[in-house]
Amino acid sequence: MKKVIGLFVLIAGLLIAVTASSANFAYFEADRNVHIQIVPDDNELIDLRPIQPYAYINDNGMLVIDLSHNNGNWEEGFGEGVSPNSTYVFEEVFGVSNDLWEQTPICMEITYTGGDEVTFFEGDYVPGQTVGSNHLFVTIMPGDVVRIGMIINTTGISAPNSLDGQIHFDATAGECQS
Amino acid sequence: MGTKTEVIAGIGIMILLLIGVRGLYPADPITVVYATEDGEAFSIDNPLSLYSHQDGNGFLVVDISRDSPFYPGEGDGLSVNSTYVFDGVFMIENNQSETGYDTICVRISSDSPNLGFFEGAFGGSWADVIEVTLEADESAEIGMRVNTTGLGLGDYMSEITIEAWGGGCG
Repeated sequence: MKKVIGLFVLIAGLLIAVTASSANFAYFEADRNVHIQIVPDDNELIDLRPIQPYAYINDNGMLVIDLSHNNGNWEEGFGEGVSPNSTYVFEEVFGVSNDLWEQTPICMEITYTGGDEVTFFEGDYVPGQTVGSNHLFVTIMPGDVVRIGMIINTTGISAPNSLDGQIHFDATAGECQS
Repeated sequence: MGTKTEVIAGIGIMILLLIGVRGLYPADPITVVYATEDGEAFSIDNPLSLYSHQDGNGFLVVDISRDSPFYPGEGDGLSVNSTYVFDGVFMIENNQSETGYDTICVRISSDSPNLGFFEGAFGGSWADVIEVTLEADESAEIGMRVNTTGLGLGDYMSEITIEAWGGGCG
């Protein structure tokens, strides 16, 4: 009897030792917080900021270019649009800036999907040299603002028409490859 | 005569108990949540970019707002109707001395349909839920794709859930 009890105790001891060592990591779960603020276009990491009153930030925080009396900046007595068969050049209608936290340059691709009556150019307008495009690539260094101007050519278009389109912005890290 | 019987009985009991022990110690992992106490460093995720950091408890936080300790004074957040892709927001690692496993599977998901995840440099694809297999002491960089389409101006709080278990994925 004594021998059997002795064996029991020994085996019980073995049992405890084996089960205690199985308390390894077996599963890990954690929830981590994400805090993102959605801000108006002229406050965010890659700003689109109106420069001329033809551009403004709407209630949804988006940049809008509006040459009509619907523009919030329009006042009685101001011009209500552009005339037919004419060409208008507006420098620095809006700016695109690079406010990324990591201080790296970006290449911004700007595409306009409206008609070719409206084209865009970077920086100053040089008569005879500057050509508007509906597809621009601009390099924006950290902290810099690149000014984008517009050319509106209403040749062949008569009143009371309107020109509508969307500007699409696509930025990638690094300078533009020429 | 008596001694023989006792010894045989003893061996019989030992065999029975040993079989029982095998049953008690399963080959597959037991589901046990490993809770991290304050100050305890065991965690498989770590911040990598300026858009993420460790809060006072040592937990990973992704913060793209003025509240971030890295906010440089400009760039208050993201814009509406836009898509942002950030490579390497945080890193996950299988520190074998902590996990005890040669291979672990890590699953990353979130409670927001606007957040997507991908591993390594962005190659054009992402998913709402991703699973990454990590060998011993291997680490992986996790990037995030944020789509603000359909969201208005304001403050957004979401949660990323990081799960890990021993063994490879799938």
